[in-house]
Amino acid sequence: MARYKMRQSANKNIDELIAHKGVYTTITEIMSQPYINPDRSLEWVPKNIKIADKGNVLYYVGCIPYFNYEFDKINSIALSTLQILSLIEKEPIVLFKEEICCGHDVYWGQGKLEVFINLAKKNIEMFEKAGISTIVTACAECYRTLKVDYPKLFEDFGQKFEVKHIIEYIYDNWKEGKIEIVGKNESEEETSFTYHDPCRLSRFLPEDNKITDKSREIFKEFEKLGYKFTEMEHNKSNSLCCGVNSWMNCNEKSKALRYKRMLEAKTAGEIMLTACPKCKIHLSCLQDDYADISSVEISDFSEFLVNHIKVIKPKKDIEVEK
Amino acid sequence: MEGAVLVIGAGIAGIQTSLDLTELGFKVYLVEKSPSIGGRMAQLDKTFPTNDCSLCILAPKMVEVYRNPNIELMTYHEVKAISGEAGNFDVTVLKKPRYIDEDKCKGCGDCAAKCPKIQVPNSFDMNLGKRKSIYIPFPQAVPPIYLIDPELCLMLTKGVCGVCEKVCEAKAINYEQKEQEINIKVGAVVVATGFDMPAEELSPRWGYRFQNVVSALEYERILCASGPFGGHVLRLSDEEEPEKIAFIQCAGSRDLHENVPYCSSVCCMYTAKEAIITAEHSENAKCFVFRHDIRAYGKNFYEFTQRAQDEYGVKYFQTKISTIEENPETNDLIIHYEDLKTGKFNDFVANLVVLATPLVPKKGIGELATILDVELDKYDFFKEKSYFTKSLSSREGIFLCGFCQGPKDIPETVADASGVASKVATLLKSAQFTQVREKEFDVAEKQVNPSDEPRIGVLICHCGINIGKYVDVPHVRDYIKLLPNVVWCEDNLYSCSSDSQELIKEKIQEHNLNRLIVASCTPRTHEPLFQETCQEAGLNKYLFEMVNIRDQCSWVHMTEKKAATDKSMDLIRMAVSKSKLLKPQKEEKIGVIPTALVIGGGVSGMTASLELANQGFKTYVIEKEKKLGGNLNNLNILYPIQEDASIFLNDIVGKVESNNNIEAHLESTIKDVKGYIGNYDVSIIDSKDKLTEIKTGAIIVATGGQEFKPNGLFQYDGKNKQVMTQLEIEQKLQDTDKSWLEKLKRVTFILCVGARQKDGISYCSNVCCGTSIKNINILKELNPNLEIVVLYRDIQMAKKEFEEYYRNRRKDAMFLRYELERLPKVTKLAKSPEKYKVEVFDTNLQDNLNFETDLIVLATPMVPADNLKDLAMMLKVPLDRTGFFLEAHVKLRPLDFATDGIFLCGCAQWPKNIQDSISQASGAAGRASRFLSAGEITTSGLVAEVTQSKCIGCGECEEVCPYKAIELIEITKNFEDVSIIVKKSSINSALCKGCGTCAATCPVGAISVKHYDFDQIGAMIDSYLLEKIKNGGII
Repeated sequence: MARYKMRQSANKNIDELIAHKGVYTTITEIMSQPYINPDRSLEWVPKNIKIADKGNVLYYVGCIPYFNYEFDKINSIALSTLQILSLIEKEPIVLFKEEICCGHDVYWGQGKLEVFINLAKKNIEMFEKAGISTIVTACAECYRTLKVDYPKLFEDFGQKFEVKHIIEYIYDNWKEGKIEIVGKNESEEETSFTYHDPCRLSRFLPEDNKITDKSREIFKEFEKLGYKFTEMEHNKSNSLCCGVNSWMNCNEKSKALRYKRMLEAKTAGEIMLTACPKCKIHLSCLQDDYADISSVEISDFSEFLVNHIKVIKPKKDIEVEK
Repeated sequence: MEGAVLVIGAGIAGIQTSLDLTELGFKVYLVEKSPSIGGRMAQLDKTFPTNDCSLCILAPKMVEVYRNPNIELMTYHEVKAISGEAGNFDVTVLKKPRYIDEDKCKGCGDCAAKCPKIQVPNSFDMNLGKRKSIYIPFPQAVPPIYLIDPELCLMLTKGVCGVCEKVCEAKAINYEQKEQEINIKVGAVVVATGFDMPAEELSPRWGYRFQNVVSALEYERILCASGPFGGHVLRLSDEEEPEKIAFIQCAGSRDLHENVPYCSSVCCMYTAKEAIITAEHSENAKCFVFRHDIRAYGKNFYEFTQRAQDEYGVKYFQTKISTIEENPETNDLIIHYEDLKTGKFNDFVANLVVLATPLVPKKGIGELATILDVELDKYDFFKEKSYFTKSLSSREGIFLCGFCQGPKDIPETVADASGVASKVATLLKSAQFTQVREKEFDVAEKQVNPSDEPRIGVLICHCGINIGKYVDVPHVRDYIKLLPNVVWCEDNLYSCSSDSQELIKEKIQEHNLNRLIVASCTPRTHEPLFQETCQEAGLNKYLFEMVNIRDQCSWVHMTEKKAATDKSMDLIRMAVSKSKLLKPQKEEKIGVIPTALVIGGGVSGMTASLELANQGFKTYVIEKEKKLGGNLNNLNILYPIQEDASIFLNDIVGKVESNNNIEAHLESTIKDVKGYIGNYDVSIIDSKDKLTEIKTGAIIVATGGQEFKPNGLFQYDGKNKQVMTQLEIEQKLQDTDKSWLEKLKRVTFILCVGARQKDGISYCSNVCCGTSIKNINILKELNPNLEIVVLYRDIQMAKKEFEEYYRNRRKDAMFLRYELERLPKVTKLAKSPEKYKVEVFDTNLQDNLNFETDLIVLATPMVPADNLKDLAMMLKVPLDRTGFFLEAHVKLRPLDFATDGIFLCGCAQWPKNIQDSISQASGAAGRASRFLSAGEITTSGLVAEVTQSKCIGCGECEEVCPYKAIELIEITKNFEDVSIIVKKSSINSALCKGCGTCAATCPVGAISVKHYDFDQIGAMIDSYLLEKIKNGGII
């Protein structure tokens, strides 16, 4: 809690620091009210993918579909993630039409603990009702919130639900031999790529969380497919920031930081992967303003992986083995 | 030479010309016969084609006139005599008695409320509504001063009553007031007397004597929310809602038997408008229009008449009316008419009939013409000196504008009015700025720092009993007195009276006030008065705040005194909270380079340049072709004056070339435009790629139009030599060798080729009919044996001269009417000499006709000049969907762009003939010269500002700014190990109007509007809500 108190004391008017005049966080606050549940559009879900409102595995989408109104093609992260999940899982994936915010931004950005707790309670209730055991997300902020912060408030959260980032989810399935990484690089030359560690998936996680190493292990596998993984100068828990988190306002300092990051990326590879929708938004946004860094292709981990996964055995066989 | 101007008539023409004249540095005496300014436009319900509320767009201008220190408003006055000559006229004006002391009356209306006289017809409502014998014509009247009708007032007629004198708290009633003659000296006179619509003068067959037959102007009042029926469409006999309403066009006009042979020019449009508004008002009413031709003379007008039919289900019949009779039992009307489409005679029963009766010169125009010693034309409109100098009358120094010269619509009138101002400025150049006053303050401005303890003074007005009767003012005063930081609070009878101004000044000194609030009427009319008083006492005018407890409390809560009182307390308390946060603001002066740049060297561009040059401003005219003249170079004979175009062309080009103030750049185009009003840097490039840099204060866009080439239509392909456009035949007629004409037997003109279509060009370009009619006659004169056939849809000749011109030439040709649904067909019969067959269904004869022809002339619409998009981008001004430039407001600002400093005229705005182009060009020059003459512009203190450290350079503010006042600038920022260029929003205070759109849009809250910033507005909201919560009112 110290962090949010620090933020609260450092700024007299916290709301002033919230980007887009606080429209996103206002939506969050509305969601935290009891009896007010959003009616989300699931139009982005392809017709051929079956989804359910009850089941084992929940895809916790987060704010991505809301951002899609303002930022280009951010929905493709959600789409890719859902495609990966439904490729691997035999039961339909659970998607909540009334999914609410995890509360990350009001907690970190504005220090509104009460709102955060209300959201957590509502979320847990929803998870329990739907009979969820595994929660998968492609958002670094949702991940950290569910994985680290909820269990601090509700001790049994960790026992009730297994929270996985899509990186971990793929990694585990891969290690269990359920899937393999396939798909040769189509271009003739080797394609170099690098990875931007989101803060919430590196230095903001407990040390025993090995997600940074897991991602590297997956990237190494890509070297067999005509890709070359290169680290940027700053990486893992020392990686440079994408500029802002929690929908705080950006400014020229944040831009400078991002610009520096993009220069590192440009030296390291043609493609830069990241695993947080906001990192992608912030870093791509800068490309519109600065031509010299626009050549770097920024892609989400899920968007990159979606065409490189093959299920090893038919689902039935796996069932028999069990 | 006098630096003052007399303007006669205070309708929109007189208002516009007066406002422009004061900005050009002249004092104006604005004489109006009736008790209020506003004229006919104030009576209209809506204006076409945008359906803006007419009074809503006019009232701000009326208030502007009222507040203008250099306009002496002489309403209820008449001009009696004039002597002298241009530059030095002596004028006698008769002031008619209002029986009210103008200086004392505050317009509170207490007198009329108590006047016992039974109500009489109100002429503002076309005698449909009622008023008392002490009255103002309408609630928004300017000046808001009452008057007594001497023929009705019991005191004045019988010497009894006197109630108004008893109730008037301001002691303004004076039954002894007499007529008074006032002598004034002026340098020039502008006549803007307008029109009447005397339906009672129609012949009996139109049935105006029946109760349920009304004139269009009466119907405007019926439609109007402030009219006699409160905006409900009711007929007069039974005040029932009519189900079938018939609109009769050309009722008495274009008709030699009714003595009004000309077309009134605006009726087709207002009929369509009235039908649309009726459809919007009442679900049951069905509208039927009995039309002749459709003449939609103006920008996007033709499409408007189509919308009435397609979107609002208004039915149009092409008819001739024989008589209108009444069914005495039902009071319904029976219209006997001939259907011109079927040739049959029919009857139509309507519940209400609206007549588009002719618009004629204002009553009394003959006497005025005699007094002014100027000529009238044969229709009794004022006669212009010559067709192309229509703003000049027959007497030097007396100018004309608006409807007193002939039928025209509001935008034409406004353009005329600005043009006249320019002409006057040229005439009275040596006396400019000699008789205008600018307020100077002798008390030094008091320093007020944000850290100073606010010391607020509040004055609450009773406005006679106008506020006092419905709001418990003493109670409000006692409440406000106790608020923190309020050090002085009083209430008084009239806060706007001159002794109240002295009181305010005294109290500011006595209590060392650093904020002032007046709670009274509307800031629109009174804020500048109180601001001036503050300034006189040394208080920055932005430390003043006004609360409108009249409109918002006493007027709207007339029956609930408690609510009105509570709301007054809330509003004033909120103002007190805001007032604490007010900061003194500065108004900056920005210099103006006194030169102008005119883009386009056609007739509009040349006229505008000459106007500006004659006013003494260096003017650059940029023409892309090798010579000046534009489309005029292609014309043969000009109509209706039947003069060789080259005479007019050589004359005007000669004037431009010999004028020392004009610098023409031929074969040149604009390459780049930087800067803002008063300070533009323009680069122009010529055919040899030579760059010239020009510094200029204003820019006029006069890029003109061009003829649409109808490739693929009616055998026109560029190869068939005997199928040509109007311009092509004009050029051919300019050849000295005319032997080609003798070989021709029959020529066919096809009108509306590629115009007024469902797809493609949907507009009517207004000038093609006139050109065709002219050319018929020219061909006929050159070869009298020639047979001419004209295939037309409607004949668009809506100007006072044109109807006669058209009728005289009708005999020269056979006119066949076709419909869009059944286009004529042209097939080629022979190659050499070329011969064509024409097949057409003539709707007049209801028959198919086939004939052969040797020559086909196609009348095609005018389209915008090429490459306007790039120019529009450079100037940051918009184009409309048809590709012409889009003006700031179609009705009232036809020559301005929303961006200050840039103006437009001529065919750059819309297709128009030479006379209108000249009128607009003079007007645009007048508009531009306002800034150039002033030499500097004062920015408002009420503008948006950017906190640069917060700005993220996203550019959303730049996108939404309607005045193009925001630009993104690039700044290099250095950090430890990188340097980046960041964009920052930058607001030009010379262009900013303080609308606040940017502040509301900025995603990071980096923009705030001075005097209305987020803290100030937040303080008001907090003050309101916190008090409510405290009292348990909400939540």
